[in-house]
Amino acid sequence: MRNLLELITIILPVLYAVLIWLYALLVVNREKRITRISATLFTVTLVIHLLYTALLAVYKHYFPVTTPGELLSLSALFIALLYWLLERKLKVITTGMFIFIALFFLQFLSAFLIDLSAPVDEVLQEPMFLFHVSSVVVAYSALFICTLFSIIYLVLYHSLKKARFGFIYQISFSLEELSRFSYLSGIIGFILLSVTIVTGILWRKEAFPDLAHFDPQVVVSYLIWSIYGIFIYGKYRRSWSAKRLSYLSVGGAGVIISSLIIVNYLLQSFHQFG
Amino acid sequence: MAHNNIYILGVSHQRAGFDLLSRAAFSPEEQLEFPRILLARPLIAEACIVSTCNRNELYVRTEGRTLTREELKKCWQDFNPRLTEKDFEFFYLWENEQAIEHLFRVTAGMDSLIPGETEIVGQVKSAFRRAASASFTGIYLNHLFETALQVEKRVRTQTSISVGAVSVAYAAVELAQKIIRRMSDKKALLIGSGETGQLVALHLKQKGIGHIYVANRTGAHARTLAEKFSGEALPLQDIHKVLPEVDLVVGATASPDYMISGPMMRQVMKIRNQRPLIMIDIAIPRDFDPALSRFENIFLHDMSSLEKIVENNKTRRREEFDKAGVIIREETGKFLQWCRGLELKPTIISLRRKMEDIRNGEIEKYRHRVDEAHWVLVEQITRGLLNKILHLPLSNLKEMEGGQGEVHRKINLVREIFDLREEENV
Repeated sequence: MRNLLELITIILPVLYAVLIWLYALLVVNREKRITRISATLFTVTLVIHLLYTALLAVYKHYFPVTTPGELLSLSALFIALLYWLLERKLKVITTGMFIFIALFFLQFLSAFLIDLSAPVDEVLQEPMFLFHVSSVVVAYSALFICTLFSIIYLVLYHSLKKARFGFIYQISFSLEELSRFSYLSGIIGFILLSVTIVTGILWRKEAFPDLAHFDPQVVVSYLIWSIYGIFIYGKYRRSWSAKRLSYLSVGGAGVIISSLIIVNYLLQSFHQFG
Repeated sequence: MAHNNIYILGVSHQRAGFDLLSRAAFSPEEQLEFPRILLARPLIAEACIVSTCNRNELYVRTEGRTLTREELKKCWQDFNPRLTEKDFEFFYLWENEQAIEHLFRVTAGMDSLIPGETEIVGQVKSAFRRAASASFTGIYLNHLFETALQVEKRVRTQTSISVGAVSVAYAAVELAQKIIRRMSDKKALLIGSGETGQLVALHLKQKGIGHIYVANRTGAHARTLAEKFSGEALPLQDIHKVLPEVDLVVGATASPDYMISGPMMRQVMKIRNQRPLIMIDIAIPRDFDPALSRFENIFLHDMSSLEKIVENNKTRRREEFDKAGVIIREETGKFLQWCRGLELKPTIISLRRKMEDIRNGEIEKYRHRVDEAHWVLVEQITRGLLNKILHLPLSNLKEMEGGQGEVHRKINLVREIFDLREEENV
């Protein structure tokens, strides 16, 4: 099984790289044959990725979310899965190229970082912890898609306002769809982030009863939760425009990225697992 | 042995102006009359006329000899005396491979005024049907036109030659679809009765827009237009009442003043609650105040925007020509091979028959010296030998390279070497 896992670890980034190439081809040539091949390869890659995660879980005897390599791979899987569902719903494939660039980098980094023989602390194998980390991975994946659609929305919005009918105008689907799926991803991300925070609070009391309440990463999670909370409040209670919400979503993503950098590299936090 | 040649003599928008194109045009009756006259001549075996507003082309196949430009020109000029000697300087003549490629390009919309347009497919199809139903076409032109229609499908599915709006009216709809998703739950307002405005409304209707309001200065005209689009007529002074609920407004009046101004929209946008509004101004002078584009949720576009979209799409379509050209060259090669096969068939049959006769004659001499059991074996051995001997020359014959003339020369050479007479043909 180890050999198979090592093989798939190498194959997955290659498959995502091929998908970047195929989806880039689709931007310039919407040939039915390429569309069919791309859609099939995407499904096959997703199945392989799911299989890889399941095999990894069987091999390691726990859900693979405890090391950075595993987390990156799982994030890629959830983003791919969410996008796969959106692609089938929207029937627009030209934005896939952007998603696959992100997926390639996540899986490529994961392939470098993943260590099949690394021992894992027992506390990190508890079901509550696994649930806590899985939910945060799905939450951040959904927020990533929310941000990506928000960025495309803003670019298309300004293109349309200034009558510039270039690349994004050609490949993108409508502003209405972009905003709709951006909200949807934002809501999914917000709900799962809420679940993450709640499970984190409950599990922390059991596993680390002596630790301080204000762990930097927890504080940052509250901040992100607040930003997306404002996002949802602004949409449904204040009727903010899609443009304003998109800026808020992009700002939220900026906070996530900077928090990850600050928390993981500059501050001491108990959120350094393994 | 009959040599087949396919010719096209024609004139199109590429070289000629509207005046010449209209003088060279064929009426539906003439499209039946002219081929009939041509087919009465012994050298012409098949004929078809493709006559559209952008091209007039005569397709003929000859049997047994070649035709010159002068001969074809004379036929056309005799039929249509309105065409002068000077007019024919703008005509083109394509033969065989070039003629086949030309028809494929024409049908794929690569020779059209609007690159990649699809109207030409219907025009070529109906021209071919007309000629075929009058029995003006035979095995060659039937296969040529049927192949052209298949090639057109292949080009359109394998390239983006027909992607993107190439008319201003359709560009307006394409633009709207970049802002709103589903048309069925959306409403549009057409102000005025300009031709392009009506076309936009028609395209919106075809895309399944939920509801269309039509506002016009004269109530009767508004009602007529509303009926045409299964919409609702509206007096011009009432447009402010529907502005909060519509998603798209098209301005196509001849009014010297703005129909919709900034202050009017300020109130409307408050009621709309951030819902985007697409405003397409195709009127000259403008119907909508250009300052409206400053509103966050108003997407105001005029003729220059739409023309820009059309030009971009045309350029992108032209960029697909290289890819389409590869398909067309490949299909032209296949068609030529089919022609070659058809022309070779009698020669191959004659050659086989001749060899079979020799084999039969030779083994018959030994018939009485071989018993029945061995005779079957002799038959098998000699037939196998013959097949092996003929395999290489026949394969080479089928895959012969070179132009039509060269192929005919080689076929004649084979017939001469093996003394295959014309009456041996099947």
